[in-house]
Amino acid sequence: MTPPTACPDARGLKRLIDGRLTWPAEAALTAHLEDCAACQERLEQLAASDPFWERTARNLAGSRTRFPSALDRRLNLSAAAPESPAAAPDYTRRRFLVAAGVALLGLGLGAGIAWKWSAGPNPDSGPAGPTAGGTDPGPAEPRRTGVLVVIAPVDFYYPDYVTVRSGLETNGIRVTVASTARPARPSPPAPGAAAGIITADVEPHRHLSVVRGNEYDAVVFCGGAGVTEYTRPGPAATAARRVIADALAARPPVYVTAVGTGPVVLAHADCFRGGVRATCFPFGQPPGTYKAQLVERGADWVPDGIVEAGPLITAQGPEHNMAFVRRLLDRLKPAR
Amino acid sequence: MADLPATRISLLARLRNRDDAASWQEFVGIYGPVVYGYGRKHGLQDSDAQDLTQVVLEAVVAAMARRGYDRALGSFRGWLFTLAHHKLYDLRARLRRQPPGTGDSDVRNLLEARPASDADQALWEQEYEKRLFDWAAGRARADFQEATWRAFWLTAVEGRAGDAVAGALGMTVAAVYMAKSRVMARLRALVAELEGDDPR
Repeated sequence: MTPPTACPDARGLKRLIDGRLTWPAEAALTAHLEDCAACQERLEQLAASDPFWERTARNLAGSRTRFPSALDRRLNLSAAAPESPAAAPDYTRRRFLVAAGVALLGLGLGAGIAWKWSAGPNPDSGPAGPTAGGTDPGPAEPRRTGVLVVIAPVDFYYPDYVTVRSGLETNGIRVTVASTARPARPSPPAPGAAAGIITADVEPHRHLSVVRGNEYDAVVFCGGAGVTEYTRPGPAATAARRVIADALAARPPVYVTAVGTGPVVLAHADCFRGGVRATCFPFGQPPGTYKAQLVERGADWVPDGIVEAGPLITAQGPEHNMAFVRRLLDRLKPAR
Repeated sequence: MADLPATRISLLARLRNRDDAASWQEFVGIYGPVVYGYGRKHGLQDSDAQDLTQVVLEAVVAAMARRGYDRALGSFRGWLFTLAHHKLYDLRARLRRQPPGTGDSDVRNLLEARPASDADQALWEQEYEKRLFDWAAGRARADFQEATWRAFWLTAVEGRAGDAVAGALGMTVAAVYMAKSRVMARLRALVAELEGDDPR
């Protein structure tokens, strides 16, 4: 079949692979890709060279990272099922022995990162940890459960967090909190803030680097000066981008939302390229700095309290947070 | 063999920190199975292959604690092969109740004393490649939805046609091509991370 639109350039295809296209742009490109054999091949060539594709097939044949072969029949694949994976050694005991040996040598193994792999309040989604040693049991199909609330490790805006979380939970929505530090520390109340405003450290359920955006019904990036952690180059920003890309790549896409200064994270993940309507906290230091970041990254900045554009919902912060929660609850109704 | 990659230097350098548990876990998870597989390919029983793995990794730990990885020894991949080869020699000698060699000898001397055959090296390379891709696949799989992973596997690894896979998985053809390309790009990046140079 002849595709109805002109072939995209290599840059567009590369951005498609990287998950860096806006939602409308990706939809247009995938519509073209559906019927264009030439672009299907170009996409593969951009992903890797022919020798690397061959090398991958050769080395992964028989790997336990394949999904369980029991699914072959359900997928009607049994007629041409590949050979059963070769029996692999059980590395469990070996890893124990090695770890014990290393520990005997006085090294401080075992500390530190265990919380990264904890399932948090959502055991159904399971840990997304690596499968070193070839003992991958084969994860279950991701099921969307609740809302992922992302806060900065330092200087997140506590009122954003507490309003969103309590608003969702009191309406029966399961909330999973993710960040890149434990505990995450909020910004102190501004000088002269009304008496009675309190903040507290927050113990996130999961490390942002191990959550997947497609496991939730929605993702909310809360605001605060600390959102720069998710915008400046580094592993935290990479994790944030991946969560956003996974969410938007899901079908139907997961709602990707942000309040206060949070939309800046979405802007740096190129969600607003091409004039997508969005809003954010309009002030900041210097004044308008967050708005400027959205505009620089292609957003059509709108001075409304809440702005929706497809699966993207942005809100300006404090006085709009409750309305934002109500809007999100309304959008999540079909999923509940 | 490829030169010691910059990213590996980074991991190896991190191993000098005795308290860097994450780096040690990563190291053991990646290289342990290579040594184990090498031992098994040489006919060792499971428990002996585990012993081989343990003594080799302990030797790495000791070397790192002493002076870190010495670039003069060549690529880490090759250095580890030499170490594994030597320890395998010792283990076999012990199993035959023969006096073992001196485990503390200089690795370069060992190479001369107990040269590895081309077949040995080929076995090592095979194990190394398998483990490299297995590790990368394990990491990549965690980054994608299960349907994406299946689409990649069925097309890229098992060579099934995109439209057939789309039908089996209930996806569009475009989604299948996106899936296989995105996973492949991630795999390529992970392999490059471990190898430190451009994937072949």
